[in-house]
Amino acid sequence: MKIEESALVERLQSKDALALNYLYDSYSKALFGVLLRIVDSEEQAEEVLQDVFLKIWDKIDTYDPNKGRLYTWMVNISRNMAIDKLRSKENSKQNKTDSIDEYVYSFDKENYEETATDHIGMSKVMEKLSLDQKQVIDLVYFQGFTHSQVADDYNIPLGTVKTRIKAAMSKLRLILKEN
Amino acid sequence: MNNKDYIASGDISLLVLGLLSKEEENAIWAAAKVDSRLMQAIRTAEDEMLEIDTAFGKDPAPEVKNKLFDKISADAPKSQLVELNSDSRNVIWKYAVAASVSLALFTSYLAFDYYNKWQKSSQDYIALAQQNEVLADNVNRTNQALDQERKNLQYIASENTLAVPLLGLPTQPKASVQIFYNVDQDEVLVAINDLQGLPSDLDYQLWAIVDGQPMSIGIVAALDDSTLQKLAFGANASAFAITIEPKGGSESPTLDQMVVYGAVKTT
Repeated sequence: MKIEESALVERLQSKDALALNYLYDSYSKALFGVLLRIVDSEEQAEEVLQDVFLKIWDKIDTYDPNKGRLYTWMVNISRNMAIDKLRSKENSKQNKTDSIDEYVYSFDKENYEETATDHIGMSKVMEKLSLDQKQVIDLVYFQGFTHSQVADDYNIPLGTVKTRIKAAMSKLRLILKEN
Repeated sequence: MNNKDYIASGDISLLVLGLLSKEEENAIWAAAKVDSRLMQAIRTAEDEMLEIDTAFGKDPAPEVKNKLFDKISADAPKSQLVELNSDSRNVIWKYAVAASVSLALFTSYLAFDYYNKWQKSSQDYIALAQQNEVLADNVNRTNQALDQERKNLQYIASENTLAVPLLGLPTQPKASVQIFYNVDQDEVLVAINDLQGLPSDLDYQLWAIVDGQPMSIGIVAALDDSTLQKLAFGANASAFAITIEPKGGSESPTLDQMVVYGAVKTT
């Protein structure tokens, strides 16, 4: 049963729990994956996922359909809440919190295998990117740093960071399509 | 920055990832409003991000959903109190609205609850429908059996049918088989009244005596449930006999294994 996005938004706004149920069934997998790549543990990701849906439920009136799609809005909420969670915790991976000064970039296969284990070998897909692209995707898409932080900390021109992200995203999509 | 630059510069990826500043975002949306190519490029990037996230996603444990919806239904009545003017004349109106909003929320939860119950009952319905099919099947089969019995009766009662009783011989004195011989069609209907059961390596074989020679009609099962067995043999018989043969029958009858015999009386 496919519900058209505008109808779904309307029903969410009128606090129809069935609509939230449909939303959860349709998007929890994607959002959970995003969260798993940012926070430190599956438990944390589960907590954040619940908070994300509660926030969507509460703040659906603030969603503007003239701008991005519903999923885009949801995934941005998710990324932000995950980063907040990460930064509010004191943990051994301290280097993720305030700046990335102490962050040592190392593309470690194991990081990816831990999180989304049941699915397409993330590490295999990431291997197909160039080193520059891998680094930028890792930091921005998966670790939650802004492109300006990456540019500053790694002394890369902002424009370069942007084009690498764009190229990496295109490549990821292509690789996915091939699979 | 003109629109071409947006697409080429990778700003769309950043937009979709939520990495642009408010001002930059507003600028792109304003531009996209009047440029459908730009808007399309943004939508494509969004679709593809969803594709990637779904492909690399993971289903959370079912308890997460349960806890979420427990919380949703627990919080429902409180969360939507509408703020109105606290004009004293509106006090009753305010309560009425709050009450109706609570009712609306409660009924929406009920709808959710009902949906779950509906799902269960529709499963029950499917199970019942399947049972029904099985019953209908049985009725069908019974009807078909009845039909067959009617046909048998017609056959027996027909004027072309001769009743030929086959009586037991010393090998099996109590044996008794009734043959209904349709002279026209050269068919027989075999009714077993009494025949002993046989071990699995032996069969009863029915023979017609035609021009003094035995002609095999076929194997007869020693059933005693009044099922009539119809066999066609295409010749004029003067008598019928049944012998015990090895399983599958023989080419010629084993004469000392004859159990019943009856001659056709044509007058």
